[in-house]
Amino acid sequence: MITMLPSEAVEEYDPYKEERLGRVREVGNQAVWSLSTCKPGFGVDQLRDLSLETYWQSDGPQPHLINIQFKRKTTVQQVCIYSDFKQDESYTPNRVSIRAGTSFHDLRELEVRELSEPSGWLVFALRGADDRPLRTYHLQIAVITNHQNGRDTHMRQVRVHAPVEQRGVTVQPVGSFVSVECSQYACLR
Amino acid sequence: MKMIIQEPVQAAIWHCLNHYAYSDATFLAERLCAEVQSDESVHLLATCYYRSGRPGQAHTLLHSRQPRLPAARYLLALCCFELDRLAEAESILSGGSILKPKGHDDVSGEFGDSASLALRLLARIYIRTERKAKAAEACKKSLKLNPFLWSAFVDLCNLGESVDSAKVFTTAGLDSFAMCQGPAGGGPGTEPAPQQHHAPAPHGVGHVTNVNITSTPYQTPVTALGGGALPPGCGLTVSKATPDSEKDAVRGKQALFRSQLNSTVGSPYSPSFGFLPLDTPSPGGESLPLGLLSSSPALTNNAETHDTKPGFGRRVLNRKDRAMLGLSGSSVKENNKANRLVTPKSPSRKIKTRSSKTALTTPNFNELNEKNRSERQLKSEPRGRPGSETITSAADAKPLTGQQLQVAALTIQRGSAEGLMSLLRDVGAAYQQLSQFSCRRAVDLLSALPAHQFDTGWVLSMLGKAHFELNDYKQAVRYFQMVREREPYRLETMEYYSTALWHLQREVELSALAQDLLDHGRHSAEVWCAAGNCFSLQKEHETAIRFFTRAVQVTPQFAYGHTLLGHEYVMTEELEKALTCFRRAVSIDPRHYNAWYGIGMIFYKQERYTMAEMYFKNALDINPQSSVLMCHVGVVQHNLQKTDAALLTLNRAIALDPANPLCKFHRASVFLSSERLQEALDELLQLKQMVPNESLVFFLLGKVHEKMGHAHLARMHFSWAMDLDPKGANNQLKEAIEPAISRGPADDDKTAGEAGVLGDSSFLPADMTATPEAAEPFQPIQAMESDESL
Repeated sequence: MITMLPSEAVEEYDPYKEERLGRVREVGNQAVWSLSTCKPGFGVDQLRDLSLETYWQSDGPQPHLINIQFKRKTTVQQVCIYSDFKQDESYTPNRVSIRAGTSFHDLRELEVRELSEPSGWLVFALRGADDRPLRTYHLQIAVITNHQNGRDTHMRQVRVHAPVEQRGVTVQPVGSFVSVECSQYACLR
Repeated sequence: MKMIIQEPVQAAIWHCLNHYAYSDATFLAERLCAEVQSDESVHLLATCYYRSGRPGQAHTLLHSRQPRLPAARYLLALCCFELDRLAEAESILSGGSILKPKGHDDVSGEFGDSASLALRLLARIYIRTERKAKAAEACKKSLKLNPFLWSAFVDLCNLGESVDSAKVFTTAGLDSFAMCQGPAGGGPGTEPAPQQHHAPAPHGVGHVTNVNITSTPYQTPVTALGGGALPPGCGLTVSKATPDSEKDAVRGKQALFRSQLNSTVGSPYSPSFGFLPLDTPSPGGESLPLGLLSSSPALTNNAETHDTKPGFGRRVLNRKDRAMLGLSGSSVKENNKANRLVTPKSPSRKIKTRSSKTALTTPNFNELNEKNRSERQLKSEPRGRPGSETITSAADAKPLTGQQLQVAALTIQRGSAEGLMSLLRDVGAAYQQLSQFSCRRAVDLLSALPAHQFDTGWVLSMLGKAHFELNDYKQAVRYFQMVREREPYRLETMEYYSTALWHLQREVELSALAQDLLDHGRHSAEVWCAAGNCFSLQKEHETAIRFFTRAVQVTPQFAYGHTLLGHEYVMTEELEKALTCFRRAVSIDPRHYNAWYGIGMIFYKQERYTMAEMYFKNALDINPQSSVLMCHVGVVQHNLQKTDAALLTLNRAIALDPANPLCKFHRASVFLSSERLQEALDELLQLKQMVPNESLVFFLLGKVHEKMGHAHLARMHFSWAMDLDPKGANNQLKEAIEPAISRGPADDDKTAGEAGVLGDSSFLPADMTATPEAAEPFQPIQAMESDESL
């Protein structure tokens, strides 16, 4: 039942680096974040500050939910979650489900993943219907169970990434130019 | 009871103002105003308020007192304009009743010497309220009255009018220089009696009160003489603050060349407005001092080489004005007289005569007579003895009539301004070309300017902007760097420098620039634009948006700030906000093609290609030489299935700007999607030579080969493409490449069906659980675990 995810063992994925390099864009700021439960002082701010020391701690029955509601339909490419078994032990999520939809009532599960003693960034790539990029109003991260059957969960950081739109026009969607010689002519500014 | 006498107090106040001691000036002016309730005192107090940076106070004062002096009403209109009370400003300037607003001729009649500036202000109001035709008319009239108003010419160009700078920048049409330089002896409510400033020559050299000083309250004795008696900077003091501050520019320029004259004693020529630039084709080409100052014997030596034409009458308004040359060459003292001559523009034309002023004019007349005498028989030997009152030339002095004096004065003035006018003609022609986006022509014209003018911040930044508009960012950056070296305090056009660096992705230079500029001017929109560009390059879009918003707040009328903010919103996908910004930019400046382009891009992103095409074409109409815009139009036309039109446009783009690799890239893409594979291949091979390190070129080559069935070549090109893209910036590369590399083009079973790049369906669903460099080994495992997790 428990599977090893080779992706976690691969070289460290650094979402900040991805954002800096301009490959993805963090769009969490365009959304309203809410939690199903939280302990005072361990809430959304701690989940969204850029520090891995602070964390969200839930305070209620499972499943624990993080709701991310965008003002307008947003293209989401992936969600990155930082979790560390060594620090959190029984608070570490074990089974995580990502759902998306337009509101609370029509969320559709996109992915369920079993985690096994994770330590580091977990990347959930998301796809919409027909394998097109996911465009959604409401994203929900659900923690179904924890390691060692813990009741509450800790989550240290969550980043929501959208694809970077190419700047200029192209006949086919080839993406953006790599060299400066080309990219400087790609758009006007 | 002590009465405050107006005149000396006013003089004292002007003195303070000219030394920027605004609090003193304001205090004195307030006391004066309380004592003497005259229009002049009110105007003086309002001037003090305005110069202290308090237009609101000036406005309230003037509004309540309603002085009738033209200069005061002009000041009131200016305050209203700055406080955004445009209707009020307009009614002051061209009011009249609603049914019968005044025409521009009425305005000029009413404002007298301030007419040109009043019309200029009126033009600015018309521009703000989007009445282009009236604005153009007002600008033209203003320039006709006063060809020194460069900003009117700039506005005219920016409105899109094609103006002939040769016709604009000429003093031939002027009846008098009163419009340009203020009335002789001071206009209404301007300066106090100059008699105390009529400085007697301290030493035998014979000082000359600066020509235009009678219009300046503060007069500095300026030695007109050579011998380098005077420190070069002295001439600059002439350009004192005057009530008609725009005229300072004129005086400043004249003072400038005087000072340059002084400073170049002994040099073979003095480069300045007052002289013909050396490299312009003029007779002898040497300096032709404009009858004002001849500072050195060397000059007079030059003069010797020219014919001297006696008399005023022969003076023609052109650069080949020998008379001026001869005049200046012949005697230092004569030049002084010439200076003095200019001062009373026409004795009969004084608007307000003051008793004090007549004292000034009479000695001038005498000098005038002497000058005439000297003119009659211009000798070209240098006058060794500067200073004495004697005119060395013999006398067939006949005192001239007032009328002749007037004409004489005018001709001398015209001649003296000619140097500046010729420069303005050249510069104006270049600016005109630039505003019509004939950038190469503009570059040529600007490069033809004399070296000392070329080397200034303004000219170099115009060159930078011209190259920027040509999309030649490297060259633009070079010019802007020169500007920064010469004038590090210069803030205008720095926003273009920052954008050019953004295009070239030079992060270090851009952040250095932003840092430097922020040190210099936090109140300037250009600075915040540069800062915003810096953060945008580093992908910190939220911060960039903050800075661009700041730029827009600082100067709401700065169209480019809105445009940059719009572009940044497009980056963060906030398309409605972006649209608002672009629309605002366009309403400020309808010829801001960048904003039209931005609107087009928004429609393109929403896949509304017809609208996108319309807006791109709009932008292209304004700037027809931009190959980038043509590329956009071409691509959109292809998306609208108008492939032939697309190819035509792209061909035009390639012909126009062969250095732009994207034109060929898009053309190759169009060929590819039209299944004209061989042509695509040819195009791409040429492109490969042009930009050998662009990953997408190889990617497209791979696609072409794939379509042609050359599987091996396709795979080769795809792997090259991946190699050239070390950062993995293009996920589509992997999506398209992997099937080709790992399975070959014929193998489709593992691929999910997303219609991909060319209608091929060989895409693997992007699974980003692996790092971007993840290669084939992980795929099978991922396939496995995705089954498991369900």
